[in-house]
Amino acid sequence: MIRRLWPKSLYGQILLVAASALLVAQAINTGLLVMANQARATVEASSMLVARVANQVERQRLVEIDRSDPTERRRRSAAIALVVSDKPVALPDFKSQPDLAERASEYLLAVDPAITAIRLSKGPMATLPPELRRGPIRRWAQGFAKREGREQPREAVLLTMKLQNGQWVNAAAPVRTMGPFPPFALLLQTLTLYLAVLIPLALVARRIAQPLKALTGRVREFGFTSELPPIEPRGPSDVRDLIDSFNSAEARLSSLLTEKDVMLGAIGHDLKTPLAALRVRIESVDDEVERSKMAASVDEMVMILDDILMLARVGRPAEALQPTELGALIDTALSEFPDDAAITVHPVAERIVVNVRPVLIRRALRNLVGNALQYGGNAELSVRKSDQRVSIIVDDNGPGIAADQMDHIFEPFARGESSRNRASGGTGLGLTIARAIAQAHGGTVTVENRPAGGIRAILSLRAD
Amino acid sequence: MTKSRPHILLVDDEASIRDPLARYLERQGYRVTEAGNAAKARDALAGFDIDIVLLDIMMPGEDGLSLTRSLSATNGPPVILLTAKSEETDRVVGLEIGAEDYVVKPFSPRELVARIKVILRRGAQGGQSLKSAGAVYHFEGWQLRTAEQQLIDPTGVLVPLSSGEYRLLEAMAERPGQVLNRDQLLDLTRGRVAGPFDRAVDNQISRLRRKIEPDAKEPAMIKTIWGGGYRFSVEVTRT
Repeated sequence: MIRRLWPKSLYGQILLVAASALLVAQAINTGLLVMANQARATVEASSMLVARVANQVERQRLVEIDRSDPTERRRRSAAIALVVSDKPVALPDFKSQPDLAERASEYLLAVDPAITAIRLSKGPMATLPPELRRGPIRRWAQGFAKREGREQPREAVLLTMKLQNGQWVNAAAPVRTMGPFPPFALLLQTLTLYLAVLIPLALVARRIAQPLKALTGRVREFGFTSELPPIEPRGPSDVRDLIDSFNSAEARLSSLLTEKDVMLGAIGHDLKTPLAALRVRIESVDDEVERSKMAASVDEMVMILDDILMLARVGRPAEALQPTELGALIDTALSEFPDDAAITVHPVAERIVVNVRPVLIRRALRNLVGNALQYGGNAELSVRKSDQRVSIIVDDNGPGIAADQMDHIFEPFARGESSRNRASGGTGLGLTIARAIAQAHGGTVTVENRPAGGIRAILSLRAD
Repeated sequence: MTKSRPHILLVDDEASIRDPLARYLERQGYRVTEAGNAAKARDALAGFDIDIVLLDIMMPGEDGLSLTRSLSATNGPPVILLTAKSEETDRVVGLEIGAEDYVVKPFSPRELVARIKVILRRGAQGGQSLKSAGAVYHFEGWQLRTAEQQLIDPTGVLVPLSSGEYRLLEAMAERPGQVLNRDQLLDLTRGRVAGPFDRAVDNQISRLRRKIEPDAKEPAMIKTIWGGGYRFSVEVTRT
């Protein structure tokens, strides 16, 4: 699932990573903000507590706040609870707050220097002893929750200190809970960030990704289409450099290939002229058997020559790609075999159009079917289509290929049997040419032994 | 205008091919004039009544294609090109510029003679040249492009044809509505359909039907005329 959501392209990955990083940063930010707010609430609560207690100390009124005392009513809103006892309230769940205690001491000692053992701690309100939890503090908490529409305070700060007379003052105040962080504000903030960061980033990433995409397409097509103008260098300088160096590499390769073409054409022509002369002169031989043998030898030489030239030129075809009906293409390739050849074709159910050089593909098919007939004695053709590939399958019922020879069958001049026996026919270039043709179309040729015996050759092409 | 000894002009810069070929053709009963380049060929064409020209493509100076073009433009004698390149593009170019036929070197002299006979016979019968250099036949949304020897279906997709199927379809597209029997079709397809002839035509017709008929069992375009032959019963326009 995650693998599927993970974008494959550079563009998508950059944007996704940036967006995720921004989101994480936003989350951390929000967390910090919440924590800071909480700390502030604690400081507020303790300041208020300390101030009230200091006030009491000053007025020498350190008595337990009495609920029945009508004068105390006013103080209820003070939202503190205060108990004077002979020992301090000690609560294990309350964490000491030394920073706050220090500030409290400064303030309290200024009021009464005889105060000792000042301790400030913070902890869950529920664990406070009842006399500190109930009464005004609870009412305040409820009132606060109602007024502000927030949760009731769950935490409280507790101040304990020893007076000169040996009595302990224990006072508690609730810490205001924070409201839920406004989601709208967070959303707006996140959106603003996204707009500010992601849009420029997307533009930059596109500037990188687009020329890279063009380059990739070009490299993929390299050798299939001839003589395209060089790619225009675009994008950041790194990408430009890459495109520039690809362009010059392509130019070098292209001139090498052109040279090769010219040379092969010359060789082909120069060899064919004496062969043609020989072929004509053969007709003056009187012995008919001898004459036909000589003619066959010349034909064979020409066939090998043509195969070599074909193999050498297959990467730089003169023919254009053309949308072609596959069934008719196969049929046409098969029409070059004698009518009584053991060929069966499983009819192609649907009309399949492939974008190919028809003469070349016909040649590749002819080679595969020719091999099947020659080594297997029959050929059985079927077509399979998936979203991306069209496969033409050529099966035979022959003896198959020994495993140790399987690796070598695509090598030029390799033959099914290791003897270089001319009588077995073929130039030994058939599979090599078929594969080169397939590759020039972005396709493949694979050969395997069938479980039922015989060989299966698959010519697989891109389904555009 | 059949002559007892048809006159062949053989143009090739390679004497090693030209000389033995000329002797072979003479033994076959032809009168042969040799030329080593295009200029000499033009001289010979001016000086003799040439029936057919055998023309090498790759020659120094003016090449064979250029000479073919000018012969075709001036209604000169038919040309068979001798080419060392077997690639289809060369063939296409050769026929488009007005050559009657071509053979790929090294060729069998017997086959060459067979083709010479076909072309001379067609000329002697007084029929106009069958080649339709560059014409496109349109029928039912299909296009038969004679320059490229290609059949394009109504959706613009190439439907490959074997050369025999192509010649059959071309012969029928040239004569829509006419009933053509097997002999006529064989003759029109230049007698080069291999195999037992009658069956070969039938086989190729049925292959053609599979490729172009919406329903090959109920052919609507190539109709079988019982006892007669076949008729291409669609409207054909030529451009």
